[in-house]
Amino acid sequence: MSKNESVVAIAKSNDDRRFWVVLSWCCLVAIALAAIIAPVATAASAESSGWMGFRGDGSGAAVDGPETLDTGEGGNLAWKVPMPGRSVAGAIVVGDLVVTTSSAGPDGGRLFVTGVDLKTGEVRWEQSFRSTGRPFCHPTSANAAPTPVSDGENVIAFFSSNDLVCLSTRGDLIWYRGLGFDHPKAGNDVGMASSPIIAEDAVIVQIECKGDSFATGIDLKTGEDLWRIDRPKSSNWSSPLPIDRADGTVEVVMQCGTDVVAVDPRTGQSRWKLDEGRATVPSPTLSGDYLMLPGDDLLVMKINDSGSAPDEAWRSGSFSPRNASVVASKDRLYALKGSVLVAGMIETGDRLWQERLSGLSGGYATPAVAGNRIYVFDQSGNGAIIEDSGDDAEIIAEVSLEESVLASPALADGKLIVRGVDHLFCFE
Amino acid sequence: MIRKRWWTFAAWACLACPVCPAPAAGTVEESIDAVRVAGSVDGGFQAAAESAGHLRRSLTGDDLPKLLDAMRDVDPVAENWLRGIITDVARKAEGLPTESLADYAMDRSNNPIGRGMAMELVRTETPEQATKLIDQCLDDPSLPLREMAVEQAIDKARSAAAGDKSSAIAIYQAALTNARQPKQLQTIVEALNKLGESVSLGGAFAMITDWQAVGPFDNVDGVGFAAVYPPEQQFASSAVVDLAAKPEGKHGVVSWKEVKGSDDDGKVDLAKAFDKEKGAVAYLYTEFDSPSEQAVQVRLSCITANKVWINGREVMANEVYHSGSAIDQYTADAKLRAGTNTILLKICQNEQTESWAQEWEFQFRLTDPNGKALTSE
Repeated sequence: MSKNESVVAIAKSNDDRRFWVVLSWCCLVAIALAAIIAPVATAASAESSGWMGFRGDGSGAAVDGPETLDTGEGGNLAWKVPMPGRSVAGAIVVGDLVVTTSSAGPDGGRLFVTGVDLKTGEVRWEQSFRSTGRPFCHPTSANAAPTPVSDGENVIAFFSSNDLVCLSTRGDLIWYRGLGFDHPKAGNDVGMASSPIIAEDAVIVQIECKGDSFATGIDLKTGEDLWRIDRPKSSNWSSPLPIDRADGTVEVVMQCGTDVVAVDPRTGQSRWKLDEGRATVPSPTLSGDYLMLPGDDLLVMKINDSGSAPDEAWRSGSFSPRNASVVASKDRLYALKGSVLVAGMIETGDRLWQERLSGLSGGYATPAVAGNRIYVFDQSGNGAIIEDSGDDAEIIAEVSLEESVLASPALADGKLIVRGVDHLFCFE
Repeated sequence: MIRKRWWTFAAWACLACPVCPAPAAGTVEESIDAVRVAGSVDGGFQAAAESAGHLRRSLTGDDLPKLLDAMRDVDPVAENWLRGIITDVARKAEGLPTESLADYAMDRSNNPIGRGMAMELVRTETPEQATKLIDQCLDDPSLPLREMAVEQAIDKARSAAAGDKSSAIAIYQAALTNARQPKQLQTIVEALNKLGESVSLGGAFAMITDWQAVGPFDNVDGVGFAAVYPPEQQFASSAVVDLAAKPEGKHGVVSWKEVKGSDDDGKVDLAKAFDKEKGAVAYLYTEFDSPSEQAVQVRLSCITANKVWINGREVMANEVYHSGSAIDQYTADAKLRAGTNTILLKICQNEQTESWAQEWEFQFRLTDPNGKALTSE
């Protein structure tokens, strides 16, 4: 008797009627649940067009952003909210929720994760913890330095002290890891800043310093260790970057002063390695098939279909950034060299224009791009929108936020979210 | 048979259904226990995550003292698990029992960390009440509460300084006596100096400034950190050094000499003592008299690689060069015996040539386990 036949036979008994009633009931519940869950799942999908990590999807680009930056009356500053501590970490946007981290207290050891309503600026929830690792950092920086990351359902916040926390988007604690407690010599007393990523349900952090130097993958669902690999004992602030390959696999690219490696997010096993040291402040960038590795020059590699190391497309010293990472939109890339913004073609490396941003000094914040508008902030909190008109550029808006900005701004739903050291700003 | 299948299916459907809360993961007490050992057992994080969900669903604001009690004697990671769960429960509660939380915070028989957390909850709900209570905690055995009280005292003194200088000085002095957090101590000392009071940072922190030093020994290519030179060999085996010995150093025979830390901040400048030698190791020796056997914390600020021994036993080793510095940057637990204790430091310098990599110096002190500075008696 086949399985189907046995089900039919069973259904002939009296009990079978009950069975089918329950089955029907369960199906109805399932349909009702599907109706409830479906919009959530859709929202989660839509959230992928949000800004869910350092530089959003890894390129620093979004579809749309504000036309101007005006904090005056009648301007486009939608809201400005004081935060519970300092931060140099970028904010992220998950659906209609902005998530930002802060650190406070005499030594920056009080850690905060704050969920803010994107439309109103109202604080929806806040969690606070105490650092379990080394909280020390340079006075211009903060323990809240790495940008959080989300998969649409969970929020991962990470701090210079190597405290790693997973919250739901409702602010509930899912799990907590004290990687600085587990590895007390992991840290840099100038401050760490590498941002976490999520790939294949693994949280990956790159903790590279002169003490305990390693990268690790942690299960997103349970907080348990998946893998840990030793990394060179040298200071590094660059962040890991997930890249999708043609065969549907994901790799995590990590660059440091001695090499570039790509590892499997679930096992940490090496997929390919480039024996060439790259920059230790800016991070790798991905746009389409192009992987951009900053260093003394910008090395641009094209991701191939073979699964092996990407192929070198071109390299040029014209686009090597200072502190900020390179960003890219459509066929363009933009590199911030101090207060000079340089634009070029991703495919060829041809330089299109360079613009000295006269009102801005140097800084650390990686720009963000929406269409042909590039949003740049310096360390003093001066910001500008630069419009790329093809073979030329023009500053179309300038603003002073009157507080230091070291964090990369976020773009979502046409809004620009800027995390100043003490406040969170939203321009619409 | 059918009945069995029926119930199996129903049970399965119920378990899979996300509408109802998940079944309880044991009792509340069992869940609390799972969270308390989150990082110290295999699979502990997954068990703690499940327990956190259970506690969030099961507990109300009235149960918060149970969670505050659970913060007793757990490691800092488990503390943060409990902190997160407490915040979840408090957020979902319809009004917090602030009076009982305030009572919990002010009862010195409760655990110090839980008391601090209770006060944070009171401060969120009724900030004015919290301010009054925190004012009473300047000498509190709970370090979180003491830190809050010192923070308030500093704010008060700052406000007073514009009008009533003597009142500001009195508030700062009281805070100075009770502060344990290094940055707060530093802030108070600087403020008192600005108000014309003569208070040194080194004195306030009880930095140890009298040392015997010998060096330089070889640290080219970083070989010196692991190398065991004669002073270290002797101290590790006998807990003493022969200050009359003349061991072979990097450039020939070297002798012990006196070096002294700055009167201002207690910093001992080895670059000055050893003529800006690079790729070098220096050993520093001192003695500390303790009136009784006691647990202490060894606290070192040092921008280069270092090791510390107390009475012949290594208590600290950090092979990091020029990656930032702060007072009490490295801490370690140790024990002093009654009478004279011997202390040996190994402070290394590498060969970096950048202008920001020329410092070769340290600050060293001993405190009790709560951070109260100790002086040799």
